[in-house]
Amino acid sequence: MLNLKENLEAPLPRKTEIPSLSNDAYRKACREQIDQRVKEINQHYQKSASEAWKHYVR
Amino acid sequence: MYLNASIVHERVKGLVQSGVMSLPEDLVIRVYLTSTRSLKREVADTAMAADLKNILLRLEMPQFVWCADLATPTEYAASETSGRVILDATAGTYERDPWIMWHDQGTIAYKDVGRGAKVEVRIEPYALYRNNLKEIAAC
Repeated sequence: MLNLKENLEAPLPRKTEIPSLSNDAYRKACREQIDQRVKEINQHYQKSASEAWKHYVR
Repeated sequence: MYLNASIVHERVKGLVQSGVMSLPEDLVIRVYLTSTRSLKREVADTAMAADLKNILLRLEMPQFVWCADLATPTEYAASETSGRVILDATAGTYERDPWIMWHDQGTIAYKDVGRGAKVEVRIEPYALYRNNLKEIAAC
């Protein structure tokens, strides 16, 4: 049974606000290569999911 | 669900390589899809840093999430992890930031009512998510 009571009574730790969970290097990589790779993967998936799995997940 | 496994793998690899997290160079990335209910049940039953458990149990998530456990080969051999990324399984294919939470051994970053929040905390390795993802017994 999922008993959360004990955990949820504990106060949340002190947090700091951040603009994003990623950084500039990630966004740059998206523009330069990741977006293109995602597009290619999506095209493979549209043809065949099993083929896409063979090509992209190591 | 919109995000497929290969795209999740690609995005997580990109996030790891961006250096936003403090991780060792040699890493095993274990990607899996799970329901939020199963994930929270396992988190509640697993020994891990109290602040991490507290945040994970309160995190607002869709019904299904993609997770990636990030472990060193030694941790992985011991069925442990010291990093985790959680992604919104309902995010669009071309969504660049489907992140709900990530943590390494010193930081937890998470979406907090639509904004980003960060907590600095020491996190020791804890058990990999298992649930129904168990080895197939040899015949």
